[in-house]
Amino acid sequence: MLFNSLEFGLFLPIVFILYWFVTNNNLKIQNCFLLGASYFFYGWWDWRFLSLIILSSFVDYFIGVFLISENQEKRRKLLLMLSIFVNLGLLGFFKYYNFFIDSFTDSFTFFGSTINSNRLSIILPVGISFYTFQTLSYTIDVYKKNLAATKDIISFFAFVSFFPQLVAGPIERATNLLPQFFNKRKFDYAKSVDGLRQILWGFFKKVVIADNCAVYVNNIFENYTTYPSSLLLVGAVFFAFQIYCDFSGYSDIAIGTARLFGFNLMQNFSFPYFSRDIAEFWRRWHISLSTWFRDYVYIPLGGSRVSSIIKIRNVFIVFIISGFWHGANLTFIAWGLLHALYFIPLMLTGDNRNNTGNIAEGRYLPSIREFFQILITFSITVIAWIFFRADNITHAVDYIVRLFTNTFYSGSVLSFNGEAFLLGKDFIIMIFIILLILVEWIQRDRKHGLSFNSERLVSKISRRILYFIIGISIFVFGNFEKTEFIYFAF
Amino acid sequence: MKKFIVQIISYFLFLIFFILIGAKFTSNHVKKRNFKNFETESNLLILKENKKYDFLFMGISHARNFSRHKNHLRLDTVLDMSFINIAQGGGLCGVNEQYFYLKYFYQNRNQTNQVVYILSPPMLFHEGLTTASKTFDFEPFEFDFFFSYLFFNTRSKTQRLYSYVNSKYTLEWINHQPTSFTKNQTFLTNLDSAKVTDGLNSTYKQGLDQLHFDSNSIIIDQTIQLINTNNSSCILIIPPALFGKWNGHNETLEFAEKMKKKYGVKVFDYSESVLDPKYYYDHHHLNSDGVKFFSSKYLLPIL
Repeated sequence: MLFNSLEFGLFLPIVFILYWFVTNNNLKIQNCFLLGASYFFYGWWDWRFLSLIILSSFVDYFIGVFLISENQEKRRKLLLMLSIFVNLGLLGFFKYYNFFIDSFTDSFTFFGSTINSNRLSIILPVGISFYTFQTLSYTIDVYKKNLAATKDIISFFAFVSFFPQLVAGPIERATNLLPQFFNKRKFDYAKSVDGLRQILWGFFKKVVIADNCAVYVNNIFENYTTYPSSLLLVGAVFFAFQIYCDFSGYSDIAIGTARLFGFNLMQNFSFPYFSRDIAEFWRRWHISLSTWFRDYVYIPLGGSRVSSIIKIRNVFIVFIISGFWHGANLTFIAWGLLHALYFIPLMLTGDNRNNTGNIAEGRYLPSIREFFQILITFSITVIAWIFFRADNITHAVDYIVRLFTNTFYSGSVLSFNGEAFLLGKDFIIMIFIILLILVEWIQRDRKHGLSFNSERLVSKISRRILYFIIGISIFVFGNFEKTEFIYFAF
Repeated sequence: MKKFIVQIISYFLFLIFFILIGAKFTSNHVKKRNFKNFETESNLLILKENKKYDFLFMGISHARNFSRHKNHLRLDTVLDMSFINIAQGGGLCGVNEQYFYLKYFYQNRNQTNQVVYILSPPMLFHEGLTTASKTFDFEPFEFDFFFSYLFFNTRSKTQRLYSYVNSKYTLEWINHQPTSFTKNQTFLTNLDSAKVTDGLNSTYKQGLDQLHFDSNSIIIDQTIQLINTNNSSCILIIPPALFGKWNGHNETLEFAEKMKKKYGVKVFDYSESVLDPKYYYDHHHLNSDGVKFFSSKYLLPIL
């Protein structure tokens, strides 16, 4: 079920009412209900793939239980390996099988011989990259004794399949989310209202900005050879906002929805395009994934307490895996590699933790230095996003070359879809992007774009007008054609 | 909790109210331009109440073509009869929405002696027409139309209703003006077989889909019942095409003959009636001279 679908519009209020009015007296029943609702939510897409979630949940639940009673380190390690094998095995088969087969046959072709490839027509199960990482984190934490394994099977299954974050994150840690299933939830008015605001803001980002940008981005990336560099620049910048608004919008809806049910999910994005360097960008972008890689890959590899050479190796490993996690294509690996190259100089000079505080704290505007830092960071991420969006490496490289070498402006081709550029809907999208930047700048020390507190000089009436304007904008300018969320494919 | 739920409901009601009022406002603005049947593809812009017509056209582009480019006035002259055209071209709708338009026509206490249903074979086989979401984008927002459709049994209803209201906020709608295109004088010189083959292949991408044909046949059957209960008579016409018979022609004709037996409707197969390329602006749409020729030679004797 997509968040921006009528089905979800009906599903959410029904589940909300049953959750608080019918099942609230008994925690076990309430958790059972959440589990059923989550499976229904997922099964709406394709019920057959529920079996994978159930399998993954079963394996990690029982491994967790065995880990409690097992004291022999060798056996404990074996159990951990089994969990890693099953989860990464599922992920590897469904997401990467054809990629490896193709790479294998391509390498033979490169050396002048040909072999028959056994490609399979595999459907990528929605959200598999997210829930496998979530269950893996549970087993690793139990193995490391950071978390006590649970025997409450319903709570555990509900934790793995919790519908708000099931298909596109945030990738929750068992240490944060699982205990919330053990305690009785109470309806909190302020929390729920804030959750609704976050949902509203998420929808705005997703359907008004991301989905509309996608129309232009697809056109520009498809016909990039015919456009001047000014339009290629627009395509790349629009994609940066598309991917941000698509994914962070989805996370906002997920976090806001969870709050309606009394759950707190971790913040997944913290206004990343205001980052002053690439290290700060990675502390603000897809936080649940980057901290996952930090805790379960980077630190076990030795982290930063090793020699410079090993540190560099570790950074490359983490960024390349991170790129590969996003999709089975060399373009994603190139994207990760590029980020590693951006990051390493900062790490080697010890500047990677220079910008940990809020930007322009106590000021309305950034300093000139900060402004240029933000601009440079944004520009290099835009270059990297070209790899992320391109069909293959050649496409990306050619796009970048043309971006810097084509005529900057050519009136005769500065139009698409039959209308001159900046005179159609694209102009409205630009206005919305500016609005997004303004709102997020004002709210940069808060959890999301519409998070208000009473101390703020924003009166109740002006807030309501703002919600109303956003609601109208979603209806009037939202793109409600059936488009998949970009991150569903990961 | 109570306060929370009341606030959410109020927010949505307030939002829906303003959105619909806004749509009504822009619609009234456009309606002031007093459109005629041949000046717009919209039906609601020209549909009145308590009107009586000699006949009504329904179908897809082949039927709409009798009004486009001021052909409507040409038919008026040739036939000397009053008529309304509620057909929808441009891939906007299929048989179910045509049924809905006709129902709405009758609901507004309008009458017609005859209904001329132009039965183009692709209409019965093509899935795209049953799911097209922009069907009502050029219709003014009317509360009764909106709510009637809300309770109408059809596919892609939500997308259509969303698109219906949403389109009222576009510049394309607000600037909608009566078309000034007076005559379609484009004509063909010969039949281009390669073009016809390509065209037929793209029209019937899924082949002759029996499932769609069956469900659309049921709706046409219901349409004929609706026509009969409103004391109109029905004429089914398979329209002319330069290449003669469409794929699925035999199935369509067979179905029409079945309707003839069941309800006593009149059936005319005119698929090969006009084979001169000078009467076509493409391989299956008549130009203005073609419309005049066809109506005087084939429509006049049967109406």
